[in-house]
Amino acid sequence: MASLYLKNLSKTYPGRVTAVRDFSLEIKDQEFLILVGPSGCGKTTVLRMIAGLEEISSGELYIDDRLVNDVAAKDRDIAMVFQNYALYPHLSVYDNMAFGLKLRKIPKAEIRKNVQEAARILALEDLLKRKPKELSGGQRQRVALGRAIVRKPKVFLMDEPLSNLDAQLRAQMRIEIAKLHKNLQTTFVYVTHDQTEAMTMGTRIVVMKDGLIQQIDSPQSIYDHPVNMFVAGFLGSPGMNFLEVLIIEQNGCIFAKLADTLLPVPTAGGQKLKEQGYLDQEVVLGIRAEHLCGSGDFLDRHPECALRGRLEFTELRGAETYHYVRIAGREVVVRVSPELRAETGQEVRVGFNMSKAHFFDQESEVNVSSQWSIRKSEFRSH
Amino acid sequence: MNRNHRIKNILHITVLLVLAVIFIFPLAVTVTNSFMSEQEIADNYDPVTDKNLSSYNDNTANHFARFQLIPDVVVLKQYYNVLIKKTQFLFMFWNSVLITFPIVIGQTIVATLAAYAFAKLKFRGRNFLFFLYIIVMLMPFQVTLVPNYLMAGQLGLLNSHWSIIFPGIFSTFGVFLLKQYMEQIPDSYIEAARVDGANQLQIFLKIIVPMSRSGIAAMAILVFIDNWNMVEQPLIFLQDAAKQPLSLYLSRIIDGEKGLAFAASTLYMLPVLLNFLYAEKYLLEGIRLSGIKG
Repeated sequence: MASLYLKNLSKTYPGRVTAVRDFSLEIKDQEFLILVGPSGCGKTTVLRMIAGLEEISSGELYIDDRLVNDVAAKDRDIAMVFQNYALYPHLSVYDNMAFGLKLRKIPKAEIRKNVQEAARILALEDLLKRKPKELSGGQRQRVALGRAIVRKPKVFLMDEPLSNLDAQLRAQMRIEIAKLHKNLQTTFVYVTHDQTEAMTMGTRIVVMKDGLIQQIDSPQSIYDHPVNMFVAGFLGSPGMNFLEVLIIEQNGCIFAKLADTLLPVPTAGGQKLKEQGYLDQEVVLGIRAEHLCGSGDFLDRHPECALRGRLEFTELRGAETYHYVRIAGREVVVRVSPELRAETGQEVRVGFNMSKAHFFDQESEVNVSSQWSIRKSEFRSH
Repeated sequence: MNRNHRIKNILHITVLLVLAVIFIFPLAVTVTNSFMSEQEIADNYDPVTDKNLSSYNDNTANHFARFQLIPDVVVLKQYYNVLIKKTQFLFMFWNSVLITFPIVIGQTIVATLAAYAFAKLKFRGRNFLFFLYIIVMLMPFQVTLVPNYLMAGQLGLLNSHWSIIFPGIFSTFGVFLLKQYMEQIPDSYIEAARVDGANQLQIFLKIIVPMSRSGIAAMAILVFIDNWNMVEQPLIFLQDAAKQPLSLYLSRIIDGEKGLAFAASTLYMLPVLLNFLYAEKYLLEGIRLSGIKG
């Protein structure tokens, strides 16, 4: 169990390529922190700097108040699960799991006890004599986890450990890892580019882009209050819909003008836009698929919030259906009930739940309507 | 489509069979003829000896050798002559062992360590140093012969096995082959070992060496074959005939001892052949994974 403090960490590779810039973060003891972002955003570099596999160009890294910038990986008391598992192919499952303990000259009886215990937790007891090549993807994944937990480290680092598994196994392993975190009560730092993993597993998420932190918060808060268009588009499946609108004031009310329709902006949000000087300015309206509706009470109760569009594509996902509708020249995704039948090419009505809408500055892409946009300490815009 | 495919297959197999026969034929002749009597060999090959070829214009004479694969009578006299009656063969065989084995062991150790450094460690001048290695490897043997000879002379190693063993141990071929092989090993294995608590030596001995087993075996076999068959180096560095290896033995067999030559050749290629058969799978896998193409 340990806390980590990353203070202004930067990583610059030869040739002045900066992978991570001024990364500051405090990871609490027993936290399950997710680093998420697209490929090349620097999340793995941060993890590798914590592991001691990558030299820190500038900044300070503390594990339990101990500065570890120059401490070797083996002396940091961390364990890491790699994307390709990195199971030694010439060693049996038992020897793979016992490898770190043998190097540390732990007594044989204790090694056996620890390995058996880890094998029991991960249901690997019958596989201990097998070589990695004789295991399935999911079993290899569990061995990699087992190799990490036998050492009882202070911090677990995981670098996209589920990316090589099929969808079904991935869903299963997500639950297993979350359970493991609960049982072990240890600090986990988990890197992924999969927003589903990020949303479902972590207690806190760090969204990264181009080596910079975009937002740090709980999964729900990030989903509900993204600080900028990147975060809004990256987290959530499907990503948030974006439409350019003109902010205008009529009869003391603020509206977002989209095509010829005036969508009423709720008072608090409208006031905020007005205060920030966005009247008669174009901004980007962001709204999630579930806050657009294709039928039901909302459309009847709020006909002023409805626009017409052409249904271009229907995506059936079992419990829900997504309609891809072209409105004012832009395609938006609408979550509808699977019972709602509509033909491709048909004209449909789409209702905008404006109380859930976000507004982003066109230039900076920062969320200018959310209360979270003023929490400058929690994010940095690129 | 299927018919075309079948015809193509038959053609491929036919061409490969013909090539296989061409390659195997000399080997088969050598092995089978080693079990023939002197008389039988003389009957088969005398028409093409120097003496008979000098009367080539004589149209009545037979000027064709007879490649007979099955001996009329199987005799082991040639082997008796090579192994027991004439002790020179065994002496030279022992010289070959004394030269080849230290080279194979030495080069395996040196090349494995150097290849690991070139493939997985980051240090200043690494690429330039490896470039120099490649340059040396690409140079024909004759180019390095004179400096090697002079250096061996300076070190007082001329006419000793060490004059061949040292250059053999530090040959660049093994480093090149193993570097290619080790580059295929993902860095994450090394990083996992580092996180597990291994130091450089432990990573090398417990991870890299076992994972490079095929490559190391392939290199050892190729180095063995190369050095078992070397001719120029012992010819130049070892003036004392008593120190020369088996590879020079065949050139000393006089024309009248063809049977002896067949038996000696068979025995000569036996270690190489056994070596190959024993480690064929490592050799093929090692060569495949090191990216070396034939």
